[in-house]
Amino acid sequence: MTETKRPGSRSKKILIGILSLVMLGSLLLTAAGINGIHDQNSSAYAGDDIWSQTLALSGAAGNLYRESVAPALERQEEGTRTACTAAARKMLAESWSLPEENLAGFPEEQVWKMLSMTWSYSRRKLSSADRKALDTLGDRNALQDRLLRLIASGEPVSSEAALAGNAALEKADQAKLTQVFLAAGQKDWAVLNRETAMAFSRAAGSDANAAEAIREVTAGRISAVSAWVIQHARTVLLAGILMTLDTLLLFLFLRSDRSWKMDFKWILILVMLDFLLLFQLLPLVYLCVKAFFPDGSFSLDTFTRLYTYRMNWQALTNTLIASACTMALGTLIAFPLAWLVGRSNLYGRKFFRFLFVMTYMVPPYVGAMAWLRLLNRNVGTVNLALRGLFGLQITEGPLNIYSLAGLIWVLTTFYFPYAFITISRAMEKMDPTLEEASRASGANPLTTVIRVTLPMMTPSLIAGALLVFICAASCYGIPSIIGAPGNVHTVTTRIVEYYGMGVKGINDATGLAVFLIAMALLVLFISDLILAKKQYITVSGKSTRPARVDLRRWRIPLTVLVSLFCLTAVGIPFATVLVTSFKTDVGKSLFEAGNFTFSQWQSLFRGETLDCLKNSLIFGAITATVGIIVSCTMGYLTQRTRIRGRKLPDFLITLGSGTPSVVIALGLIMTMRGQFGIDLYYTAAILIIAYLIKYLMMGMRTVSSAMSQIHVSLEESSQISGASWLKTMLRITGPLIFPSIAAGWFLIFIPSFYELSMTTLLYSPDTKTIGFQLYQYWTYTSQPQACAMASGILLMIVLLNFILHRLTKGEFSI
Amino acid sequence: MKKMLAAVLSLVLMLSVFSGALAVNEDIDGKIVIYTSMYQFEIDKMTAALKQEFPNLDVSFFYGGTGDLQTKIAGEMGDQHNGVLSCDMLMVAEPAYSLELKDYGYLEKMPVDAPETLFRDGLSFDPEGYWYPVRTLNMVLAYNPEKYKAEELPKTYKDFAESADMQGQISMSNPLTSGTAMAAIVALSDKYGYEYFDALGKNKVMIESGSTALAKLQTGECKMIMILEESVLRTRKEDGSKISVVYPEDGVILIPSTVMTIAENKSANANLDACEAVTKWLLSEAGQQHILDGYMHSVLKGMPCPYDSIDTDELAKKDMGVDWERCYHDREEIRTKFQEAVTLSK
Repeated sequence: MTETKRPGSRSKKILIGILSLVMLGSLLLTAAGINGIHDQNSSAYAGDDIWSQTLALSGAAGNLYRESVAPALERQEEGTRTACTAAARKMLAESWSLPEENLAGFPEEQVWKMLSMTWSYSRRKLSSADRKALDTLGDRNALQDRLLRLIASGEPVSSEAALAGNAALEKADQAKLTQVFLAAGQKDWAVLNRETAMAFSRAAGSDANAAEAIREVTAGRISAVSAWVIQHARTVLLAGILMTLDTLLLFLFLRSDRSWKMDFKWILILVMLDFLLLFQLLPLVYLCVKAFFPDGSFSLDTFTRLYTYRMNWQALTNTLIASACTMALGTLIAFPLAWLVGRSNLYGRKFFRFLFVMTYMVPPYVGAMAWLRLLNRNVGTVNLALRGLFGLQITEGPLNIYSLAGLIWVLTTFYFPYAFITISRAMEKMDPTLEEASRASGANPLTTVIRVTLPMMTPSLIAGALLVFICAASCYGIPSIIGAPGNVHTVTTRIVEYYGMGVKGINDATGLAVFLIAMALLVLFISDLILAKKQYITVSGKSTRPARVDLRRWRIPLTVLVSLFCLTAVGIPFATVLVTSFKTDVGKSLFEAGNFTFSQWQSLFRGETLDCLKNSLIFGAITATVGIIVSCTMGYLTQRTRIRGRKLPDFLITLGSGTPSVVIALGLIMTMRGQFGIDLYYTAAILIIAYLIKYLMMGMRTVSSAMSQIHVSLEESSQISGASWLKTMLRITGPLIFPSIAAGWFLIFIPSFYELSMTTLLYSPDTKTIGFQLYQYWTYTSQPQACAMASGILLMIVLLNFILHRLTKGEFSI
Repeated sequence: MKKMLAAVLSLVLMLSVFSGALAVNEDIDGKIVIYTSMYQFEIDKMTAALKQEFPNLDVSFFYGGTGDLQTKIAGEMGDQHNGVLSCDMLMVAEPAYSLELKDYGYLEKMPVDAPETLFRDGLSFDPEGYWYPVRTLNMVLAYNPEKYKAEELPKTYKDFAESADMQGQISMSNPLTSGTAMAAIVALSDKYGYEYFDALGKNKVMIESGSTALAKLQTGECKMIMILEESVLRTRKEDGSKISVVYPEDGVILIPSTVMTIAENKSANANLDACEAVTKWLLSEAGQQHILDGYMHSVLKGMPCPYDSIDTDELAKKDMGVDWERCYHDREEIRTKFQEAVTLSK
């Protein structure tokens, strides 16, 4: 009997073979990288690219020698020629403070090359007046001859009648004569090409380094290949590490799948993982390493110093308390609202949903300003009203926004929509038959909600709650405006303060940031623990038309309650912002003479503001689109596969959103300026990457939780019917989770649109955004101006949402 | 804002016509990037004027608050303090920062003719030419006469901090992020000792940005604030506001903000010719006129004062004076004392 080969065993062998080769290659790369770094460190040069720059400079010097210096020397008599080179050797020795004997053995060409390199490095420059005067002398060759004779003779030029009338060379010393001689070969009278010289100067960093580099290269001891490897050592190392990891993971994927067929899915996952590792983990690890090794050796000094300082401890506790309370309150508010709006027959459901989500669309600090106006203890509008209402004879209070309670209130009003959006999307897709069954068995609506709906919604509830917690903990705008005047500090405000202190503050800030990173890790761990083993499938193959629960006699009271809440949490702040935007003097009423003005709105149409708007729209859209693709991939990975380590990207993404924005930005600045071969500084790419890292989680959680509620049997039946994986995704799963995809897109777009903290550190004159502009207006220009801009942003987003709603015939919108 | 721009442009054009030649330098070319903490409207005007003066030069200003810019530069310098910066010149902060950058070897000497006779008396500048003052900021007190009368309010910095009537109703900028606020507390602690900080803390001074503080004056939430004179002058001129300056009787705090050129091999564009030309322009009458238009005081001898202010020399006589060496070397200690007294909640 012939032995039947197991299907795919040949392809398995081929694949394993290829993978092993690639692994070997990556290990070699890693080794080369490590070696290169070792070379770099042992030579103690400032710049990695010193050798390639020196080679470039030496190349230029070589050209100069061949084209200008050597011909001139040849035209001289032997005696003059030797005397000139001796003089050059002497000047070189003086420049480097070396005894002349050290250079005695150097041949003529090397001496002149070294001299021209040294002259261009030391930035000796002829002034523009000198250059103009020299331009008038027609014949360069003749000039060179005369100069060489002078250099050889060693006499100062003031006595030389032949150069009379040339101001540039009157009383010129030997060095200047030589400089002019060397520069005579160049059109712009610079000894060597300016850019090359500058690049070399930067790479060298110091005179000693420059001297040594010049010597080594002109003596021929450094080649182009070795220069390249040393220069790119870190990139090579990074590439090696990534390739090794990728190969390993690919092997694991293939093994777990057992089919040993290359699948596009794996490549996609690897690309995503690489992106996260490179742009998120690397900067974070770099920062953490710097925190633990501030001067190159391990030390807990930074931490001891930081965490024993009372203000930092207060900041820690404040952050924890504020975030926990915000999470609790936010979820407590969001769940009933989501249920009322999504499942009951409340009056004005669509309007309420729209209103709640609008709060999410406003930069938090804008709302903080409004609340400041309303609840400040001296003359807050609400306080004044309360005093009047209850006849209180006090000058302060009764409510004070500059307190922990005030902070929690504002944080809640601004972050509860995160939970609301997450919960209500999932609620819409929930199978109503369970609830119908419950009521058919005799339970009233309230019991149904508590005993059926609530447990079923737990994954979304937890997802929403954790989102709120993390956002509240990482928020900077609100605590800086509300907390600071009342001395309520949070970790984020302390971090920014430390950063703002310049050079010495960065390590301190990183030390504090480690706390927030640790918290994000904890949150992730907890959520995994709770959600790990339970099934929450509620979307199955049966039709899912959610029946509306009739509220009967509770309909009107509940509507009134919700309206009141809306008015308090949403209406009043927005109205305040809008009204302020039309004022000139914030303290006067809108209707006082001369106070109403359109000028703040007019200034919105300045070219600069429109440019910022354009940038924001583009960056936000790119971030959201890339983000949602990644989210879908991640959602699939975590919910539909059983690959070990599939939680890793999820973990990284959550970590990213828990990291304070300032930390992300600074990490990127410190690692993405070319140290590891990638230079994104000052580009739009670095902004987009920062936004992605920060806001990816929103999209991912939304899509993930939606996918978790769809039973895999739907996809299985599709595949049994003959559809390919792609077709199943596009025609079954896709449409089911599409509302979440759209919501996820917006959830990523909007904060990227108005983002501030990271933009402050990463923007360049060409990549200014609208959020940054808003903050500038608020802090440095005027509040009415900022309010006009905030209102403008809001209108813009409402418009976008409306268009989306219309375009998709009501199906897809927030 | 557009109108001001047009006005300034036409003024410049007129001057160039009437004076024959406004020294238009066409051989200054290339590109330079200037980091500054001047306000955007000043930047706009200055960019336009520089374009007139140096038509072939591409000048790009990068705006940031002092603290933000210092952080940015620190990030660019890297931990070894040898990274290349993305700018060529700095017009930010105060002399203490210039001292710091000079120590790190990041500055380039800029020759200027006869600096001793150029600047107002008493203005410090680096004798080797590494930094010069280019604009004078003035820290003062401000109040809203439509809400409170001047007689009822403090007239000195001392009363500002100590008067019990003012408790919970005063405000100032954050010295940890604002260079001028830092300079102010250095001067005040020199004059009154660290007890001044304790008094501020007891009086529950609110720490926030100038613009927020101005709004609080308007609403009456604050009775008096410590703020830069230029913010007040600006809102008086452009918004017709009635908010008024009190020049404290125990001394004003003049803060010269400096102009520095980054060392060639650490700068973004290595364009020293352009930097030199721009520095000279900034220190000329034409450049200083823009400083005045930005509601700041000039640094040159014999220049007028900005809109609605008082004569710069008169102010200089009342100047409390800031010890810049102390501001640089004792920065940590002063900051910590301030934090403990003022921003730490008890």
